[in-house]
Amino acid sequence: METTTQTLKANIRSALNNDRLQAAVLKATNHSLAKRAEVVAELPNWEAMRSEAALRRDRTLTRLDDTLLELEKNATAKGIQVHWVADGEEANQIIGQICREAVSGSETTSTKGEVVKPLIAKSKSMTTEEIGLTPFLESLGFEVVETDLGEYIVQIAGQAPSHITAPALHLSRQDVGRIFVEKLGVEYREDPVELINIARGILRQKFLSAQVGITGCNFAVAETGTPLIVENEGNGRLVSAIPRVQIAVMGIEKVVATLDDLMLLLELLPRSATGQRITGSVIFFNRPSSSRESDGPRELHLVILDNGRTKALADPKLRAVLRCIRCGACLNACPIYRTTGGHAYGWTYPGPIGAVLAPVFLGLEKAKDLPFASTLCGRCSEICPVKIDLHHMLLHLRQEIVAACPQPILEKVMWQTWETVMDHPALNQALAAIPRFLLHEVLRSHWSPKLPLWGRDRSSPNLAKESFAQMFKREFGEHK
Amino acid sequence: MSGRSVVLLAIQRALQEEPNSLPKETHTGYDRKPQPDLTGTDDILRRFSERLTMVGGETHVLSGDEAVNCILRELIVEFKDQIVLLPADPELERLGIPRLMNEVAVNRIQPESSSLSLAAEAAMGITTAQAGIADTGTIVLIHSSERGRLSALLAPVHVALLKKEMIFPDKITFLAKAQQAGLDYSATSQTWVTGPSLTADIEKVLVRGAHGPRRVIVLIYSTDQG
Repeated sequence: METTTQTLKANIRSALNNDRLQAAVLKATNHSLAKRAEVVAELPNWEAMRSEAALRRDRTLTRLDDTLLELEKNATAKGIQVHWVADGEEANQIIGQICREAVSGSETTSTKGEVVKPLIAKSKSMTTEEIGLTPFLESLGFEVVETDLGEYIVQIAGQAPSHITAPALHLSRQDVGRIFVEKLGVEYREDPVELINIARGILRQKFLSAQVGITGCNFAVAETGTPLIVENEGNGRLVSAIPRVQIAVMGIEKVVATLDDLMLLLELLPRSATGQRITGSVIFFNRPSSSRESDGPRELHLVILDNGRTKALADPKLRAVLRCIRCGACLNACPIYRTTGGHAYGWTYPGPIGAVLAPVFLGLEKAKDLPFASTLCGRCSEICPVKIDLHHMLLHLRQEIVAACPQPILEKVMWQTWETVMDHPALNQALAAIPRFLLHEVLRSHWSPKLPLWGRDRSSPNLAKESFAQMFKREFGEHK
Repeated sequence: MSGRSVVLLAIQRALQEEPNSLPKETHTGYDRKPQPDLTGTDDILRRFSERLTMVGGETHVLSGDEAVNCILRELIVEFKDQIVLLPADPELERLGIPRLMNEVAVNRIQPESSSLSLAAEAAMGITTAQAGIADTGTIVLIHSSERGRLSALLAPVHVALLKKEMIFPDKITFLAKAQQAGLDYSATSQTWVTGPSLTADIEKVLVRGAHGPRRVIVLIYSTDQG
């Protein structure tokens, strides 16, 4: 998606003027929170599970190089082709190359002689959104279809996902109905079941003719060399069953050391994301299909991506953000996200997690406003299944941004003055007398009702004759 | 320098800069007490059925091959003259399901040896499931040349046959005992399926039957062979 983190204020203003958007976001996030609360309440040791998961994620991060090498060794031994890439550009190049090779030699004209673009089916992956894979592959002449129903809706609408796990959360059924009329040329309808049937019919044909399947990777287990995804719709199953070439794309932090670690995270992820005990399917890509198997990918590629993640790894205050399992619960809980929706953030990952990741991935300058789009209320940290201290990270990033990025002169002068005054008690007390005088002599006088706006509807408080400092001095003497 | 060395070097540098951010206190209060082994018991079976039903799946508990044949006949009859997917799985053969299908006159297709577009027309798919996980009502499909992915995936109705003794209480027990039970966990690709495929992408309205099956029927059986 086009990054518009620098126009944050304008983005927010436009979201605040959109009642339909706000209603849709609030309804959906409330729904997710309620469902989550139900299944979390079933587990009396939920808090201990969170702590344990945080600890295990941290352990893996402290030996991330060894864990990834173990993953590579075990995956390669089973015939999975592993590719390491430093950034999105490199990832796109390699994936583009694999796709080109996969379709080379296959028929590219239809019976009517028209050129048919080779088809790539994707299941949901935020990592591929992050690197702009779809537009890149389209520029190479591929047709790329998002097969997750929510993702398909935003793709045909020409939008980006507005939530990590529910891409079309910002759209009402009426919105989806109108998008289908405009983009698919079907009759208007707004029943979700009918709308989904239409999309399913179209996408079924796409699955059957896809030559390459691209999936994300929720986790990759080092001890067995197994990438895997969790999903509900069955699209991930189809994308990894029909095309004979499959590419799974993962960030370096998606590796988990053991199956036991995975089982713990599989308790936390679906509950936090969608309020389910487990997703409709968990698909383990243990190896490419053998020549005797009639389905599944003959060629299985695993792309391991850095793209800024090592910058978080090197920062003691931010490393824990790499624990993230992309459940999206912090979005649902965040009062800002719940008001503006995801697009206002202007980047792939919205919400509190996005406001931490953006300055790390994109650089402080490019995302300097995002950490300020938070009330620091801490609901994100409280709900996070792997206990990422998101709101303190946001505070830390604010400090970094203020130190690194030029601030408005007036603001700088104001804060410096404040600092000087607070450092000098005498000056502080002397200056404090001014507002006291104003309050007594102006606001509470007959002038008050004549003051525009402020004075008309308000009465000002009746202050004590003495200030606290004066009382303290009278009672206890001079402060030592 | 290859992408591999660049990424590894960046990780190693980052870890040198900040070698250990682990808390000193590593007791999180999370312990898994050893549970009594209830694999294959009636309690576990009930739990499996209850959990699968909660997510929209259906279960039938059957004793012996004959009972399996009986209920399958009932299920298949509804799909007379339609396409039913049946992989070349020896266990399905042993249970006499291909013969049963001929008797009922459904159009039996092996997705392994037919065209994809024809298989995609199927109304029902019948497969075995290699294990069950009671806690979540999950069936485990382990893929091989005899057990492809498509029979459980393309048709709106998926019937899975699951041996009673292969139902494990939870994921952890399944992992611990899979190898022992002859399921080679890490060498084969597999799918854990829990109920019908579903989506809630439009206004969080739950719709069962997205890209995968709309109905998942699990026939839990104990075999005549003991």
